[in-house]
Amino acid sequence: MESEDIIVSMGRYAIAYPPATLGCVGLGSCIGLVLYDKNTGMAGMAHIMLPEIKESQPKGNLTALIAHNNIKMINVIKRVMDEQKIQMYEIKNDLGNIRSHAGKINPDIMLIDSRVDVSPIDLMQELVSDFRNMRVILTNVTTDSDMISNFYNHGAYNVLFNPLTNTKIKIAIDSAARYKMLKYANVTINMMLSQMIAEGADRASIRAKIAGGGHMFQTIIDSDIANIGFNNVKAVKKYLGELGIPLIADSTGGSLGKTIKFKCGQTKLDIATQKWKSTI
Amino acid sequence: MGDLTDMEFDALKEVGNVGVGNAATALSKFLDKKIDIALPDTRFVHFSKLSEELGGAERIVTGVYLQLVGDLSGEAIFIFEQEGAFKLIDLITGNQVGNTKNMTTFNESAFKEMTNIFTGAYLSSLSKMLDLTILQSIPHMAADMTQSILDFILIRFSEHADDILMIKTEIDIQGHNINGCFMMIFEPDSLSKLIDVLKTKYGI
Repeated sequence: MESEDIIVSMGRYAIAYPPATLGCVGLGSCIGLVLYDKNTGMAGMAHIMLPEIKESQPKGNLTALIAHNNIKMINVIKRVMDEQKIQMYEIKNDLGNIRSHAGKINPDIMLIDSRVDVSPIDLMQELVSDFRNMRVILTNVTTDSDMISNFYNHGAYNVLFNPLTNTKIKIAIDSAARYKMLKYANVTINMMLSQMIAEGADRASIRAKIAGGGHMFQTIIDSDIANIGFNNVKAVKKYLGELGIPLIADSTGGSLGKTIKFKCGQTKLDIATQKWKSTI
Repeated sequence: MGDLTDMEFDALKEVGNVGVGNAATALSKFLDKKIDIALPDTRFVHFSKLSEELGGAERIVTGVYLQLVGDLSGEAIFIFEQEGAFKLIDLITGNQVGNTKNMTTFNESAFKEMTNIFTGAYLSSLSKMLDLTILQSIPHMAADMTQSILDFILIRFSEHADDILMIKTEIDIQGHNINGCFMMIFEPDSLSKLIDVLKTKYGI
């Protein structure tokens, strides 16, 4: 992977615009799903581990820290937090405040305006290394920012592009609250699609491509293990079908690990295995 | 998980350490070579970070997987960089190092035999220490990117917990630049059972 690729790790998704490239490394039984919108150049990639979870409400009392300088959406944010029963704290969007309050509160979710007074990348690296489970949502990012991949690769959980809207906030907070459930196809496909639509994707133009869902240890015949990949493929196809998203190409099954790359703005999915490379 | 007391965590580390000496001796005898094995690195790691811990997600490696069954359930995996695996096969078969260049059925058996011997010796020490029966399945081999061969283990584990207690042992064969690692993980229920046994037996 080159340094400007956004590497989507297990149980996560990421949405980006050109010039970013989205990728998943070493898909075995996991599925790499890309949803792309030819019109806006926007694409989302999810690294899916399991078929479905029934009960998907987040458990426990979550806390969130919102760092802003008079964000217009603060009332919306407060309302969403209230609905989700998340305890919220507000502070000014500068490094000093963020550091001291993050330390005191140790929030589960942090919302930071990317126009903070220091490099948001340095800040995120610091937060992510000090607070391993904190989900950091960056707001006010421009769609043509060539820093998108840097934000993701340095620890941002989610990136919200301008203009900030009620819906984007709701989805981002919901996703951060339910982050442990994003390993399940049913939760992540719905969440990623909702966020893409909130970001302005044209629902009818969205297409899907998938890869992975293999079985690496061919001598293991125990169906609990041997069918993991197959069950994942079945589930992803089922949910895409239910959502009416056309599946354009599919490189699934088999016993080779796959690394996939999708460059936002075009439609090809590059696949590399230890034996061959192809584009679907 | 991840909220163990210091004493519980230290006791678990001891469990990992106990098997190493016996496994090293067994391997050394099998290869008729000096083996360097440091004490295991025992830590909680998030499932998404495990392939980095084992040398990198995209690195092409030879992996051997064994399931742990009996009184405790878990998984064991050997990860060797491919060149190292071939050299190891040369040592096992008594050939000149550099001879083996691909994984034939015979070579695969030889490598798996090594994993059987190592794992067996490791588990036998654990079983004795804990007064439990822990057995290994037959070994299964795959050669591919580290992340792809780990992912089914991580998928199954993640249904119950996000942080894995990794017991990782680096294996170094003197004079031949062959390094690999052996990693053992216990399923969350078995980890709890293990802690209970340690409490009862050793009063931690």
